Amino acid sequence: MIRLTGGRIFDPLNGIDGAVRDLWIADGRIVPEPPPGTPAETIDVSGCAVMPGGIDLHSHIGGGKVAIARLLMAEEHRARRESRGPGRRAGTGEVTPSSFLTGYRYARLGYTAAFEPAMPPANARAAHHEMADIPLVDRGAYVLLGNDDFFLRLLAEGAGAEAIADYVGWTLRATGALAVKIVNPGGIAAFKYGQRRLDLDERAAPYGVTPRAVLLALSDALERLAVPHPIHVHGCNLGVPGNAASTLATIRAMEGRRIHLTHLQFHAYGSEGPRRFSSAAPAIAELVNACPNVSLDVGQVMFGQTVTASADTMAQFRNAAHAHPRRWVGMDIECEAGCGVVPFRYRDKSFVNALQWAIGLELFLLVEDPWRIALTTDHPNGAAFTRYPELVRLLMDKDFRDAAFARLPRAARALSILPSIRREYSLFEIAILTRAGPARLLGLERELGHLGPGARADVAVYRDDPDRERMFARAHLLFKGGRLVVRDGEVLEPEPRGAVHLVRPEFDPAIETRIRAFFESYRDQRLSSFVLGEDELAEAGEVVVHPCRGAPPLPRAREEATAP
Amino acid sequence: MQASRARLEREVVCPFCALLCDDLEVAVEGERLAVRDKGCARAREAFARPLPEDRRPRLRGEPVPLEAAAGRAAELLGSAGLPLFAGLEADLAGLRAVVALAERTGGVVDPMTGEGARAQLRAVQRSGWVAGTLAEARNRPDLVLLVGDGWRAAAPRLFERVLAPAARLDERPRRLLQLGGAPPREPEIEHLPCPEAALAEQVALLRALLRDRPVAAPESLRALADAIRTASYRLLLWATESLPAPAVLVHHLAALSRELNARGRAVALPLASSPGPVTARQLLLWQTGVPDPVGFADGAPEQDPVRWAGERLSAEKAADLLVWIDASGFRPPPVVSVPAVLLIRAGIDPPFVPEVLIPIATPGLDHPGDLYRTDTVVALRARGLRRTALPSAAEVLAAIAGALPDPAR
Ligand code: SF4
Ligand SMILES: [Zn+2]
Ligand SMILES: [Zn+2]
Repeated sequence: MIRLTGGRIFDPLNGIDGAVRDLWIADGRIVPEPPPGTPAETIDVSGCAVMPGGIDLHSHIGGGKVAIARLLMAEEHRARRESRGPGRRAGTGEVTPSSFLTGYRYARLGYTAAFEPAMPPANARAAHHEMADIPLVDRGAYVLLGNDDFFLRLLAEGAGAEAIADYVGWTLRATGALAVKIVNPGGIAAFKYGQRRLDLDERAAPYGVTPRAVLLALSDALERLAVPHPIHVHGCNLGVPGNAASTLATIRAMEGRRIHLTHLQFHAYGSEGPRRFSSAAPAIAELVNACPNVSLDVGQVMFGQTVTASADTMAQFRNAAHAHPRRWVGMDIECEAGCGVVPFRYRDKSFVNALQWAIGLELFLLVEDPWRIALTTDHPNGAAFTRYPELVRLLMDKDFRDAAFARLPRAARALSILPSIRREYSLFEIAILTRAGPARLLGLERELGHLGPGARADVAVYRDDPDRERMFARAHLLFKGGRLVVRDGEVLEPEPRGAVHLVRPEFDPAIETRIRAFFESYRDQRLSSFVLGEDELAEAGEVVVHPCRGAPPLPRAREEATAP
Repeated sequence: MQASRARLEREVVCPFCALLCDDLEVAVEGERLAVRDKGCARAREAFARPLPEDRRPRLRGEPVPLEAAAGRAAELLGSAGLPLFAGLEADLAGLRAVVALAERTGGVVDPMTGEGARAQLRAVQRSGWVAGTLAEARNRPDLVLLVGDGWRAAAPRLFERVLAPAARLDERPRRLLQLGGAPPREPEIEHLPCPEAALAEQVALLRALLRDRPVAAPESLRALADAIRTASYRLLLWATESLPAPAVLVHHLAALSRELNARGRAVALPLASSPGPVTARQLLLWQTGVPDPVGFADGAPEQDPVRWAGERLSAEKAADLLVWIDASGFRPPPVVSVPAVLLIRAGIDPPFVPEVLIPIATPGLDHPGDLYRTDTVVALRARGLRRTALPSAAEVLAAIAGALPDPAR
């Protein structure tokens, strides 16, 4: 038994806001305080903030497009190489670190879970292979649907909500996924037919369905299946000036259905101002604030070299013109999806990039309910996850933020209200954005994201430091499943493998007959070699199956939080 | 010996080329395997190869127990300055063990599949491309340009599975054209003769025509350019390992795959010959961050296509130990003058007597194994059909790792 004593606990799911309490750990779990006299190893964490391990709900860490991104980022893999250490594996890379380094770097930040948000079904086995080699963090994946020919045909022929739900349920199970992601609804398939743009109510080649219909059909399917995480949406027109109109229309189209809008920063652009590019964050935040069915993550841009990797071939084909260095890869994937990989450098002297940075921060600060917004950079698309500490400081420290803003080009500053926003996030709110909120949004809160008895003992301890960037850059201590794995930012116990989190919804297996016929005729693959066996997943460590009881309600921050 | 009744296994995954067909019917009778349906000639031969009576490992030709062979291999690895891990015809579990061992012993990992595979990587790393997977290639294109005839040997069932399948999602008529190579026997494929030595030049010329450059070109090439220009979804297909002048060819083909997308669509699909090296490249990309060839000489992984090229390292004896892994038995190891540890499919006689020879099992036949298809996106689990006492590559490599002098994890 371990007793962490003297720390200030930030445990939003249990309403604890900085109270000094003891935390007890036994057999990998948080346990209630034992009877006096129970032998325990006491660790004094006075002066530290104690939080659940961080949870990244949108981070591209596994699968084919990450491999392509690494290929295109050869320079950084030459420049940053790490040797093996005691029990530690070697690796390379900065914004697309190799798998072992990904795990060590997340752990260093105090994170204990990360979720791959765009797994094509055909790439599921490979994505799970790769994620199994990311040590120290729990993992899971959202399977890509909405551009696959089987689904689009069901929709086009009016197969009905039940058949679609059965297919979605089948796919979730067959690929070992936790949720469903949709990217540019119908647009990736349309791009295969040369279509270069697609808005919410335009018809997509080749089946003539609209993104609105695709979105609603998948959303209803997930509701029928009672999958905890609602449809995870990368909407139409990513990156296009003026795309806020599509985003607002998308929110309205849901008519109260739950939706998670991912990397919303890339979808919050107006077309005003002298360069026809402006911030629409205020308008979007206003609608989000008024719609309790909407959650989001930001996909914050941070300045520097990175690489963008997305299933959105339509958008990435447009972005290829701005590749830096000048190289890009596109791919059509298996009658299901696509991928586009474009290296990119966000420059603080660029009007557009500076405004993107400001738009992301405006979203963070204008969306009122911290339970509905998650902290992400859409790793590595806006920046690598290793930039989170700096981002946290931008949210918590107005002076720091203002100083950064002052360095932006005048033309960009003229179009942002950022300096007028006084809000500074508290540690409690940061704990929501990076732990409790994602756990609730994904339906993991039974196991992860809190420090109440029964939770997995994934516990991050940070030395309090007014420089929040320094504070969050290196966890003072990190416990993974009750084992101390990081001390002062150094990985001590590199071995433990995290668990994989997934759902296995119930559906009518009769759908498999149709799926089989499609696979054999068109994809020339047998289901026996496609479906990921339960035993296969278990080979790579613990499998945590989350119950399908519908999306958890999204309360506003609890009022009863105890004061420190 | 008791006569056992044959059982029929359906939907068997074939590990013998990077198409990884999964529809084979194989009769299993004790240790004997016979493809009954769907397999190509290569598969029929490879499944049917008998296992030898004597499956013992050997030290310089003398039979020894596995522990002794693994112990000797560990000794050699422990004292090697720069071990070269090559061949890499193995499943993911075996390859994971290879990378771990190379990292630990400061070795080099290179499948040694030749200049074509390396040239292709270079082209993609320098400027990128637009690629497609097998199912896209089967369903979408209305025009397919086969460059050379290497596709036939690299992927024997390509014609039936991709080029002229029984069913396609897209029913637009399709033109199949082959530039160069021997005249195809399929009447559906139009042949544009081109001597092998001129192939690179012709493709360069074709690209110039498609970019509307004022070049002098024969009428046949102009007609091809027109056909490509007017098609809506073009597939460029070649066999990586058999291209003449691969550096030039692949550079132009990758560029074409990008440029053609300015109007309409185009994708490239290169064919690797075997799944092991495809699997190895994906694994290296995630575990080390870089593709083959990878050297761990200073402890940290480094991709360097010149410095860590297995061919050069073994020719110049810069690598002082060869560890060759071939669980499917298709690629003989290079003849080297340094000590060699061979992990090869049981029943295959190496071209020389190595220091250590360990017969191993074949994934998909003797045990389950994960393999990646030529398009790199799809991994399949081949399930294993029979029981033999043969160890898998992963098991042998684990035994070697366990016997290494420094027991560091
Ligand atoms: S084409 Fe390749 S995978 Fe298919 S049966 Fe022949 S050797 Fe096996
Ligand atoms: Zn996205
Ligand atoms: Zn993303």
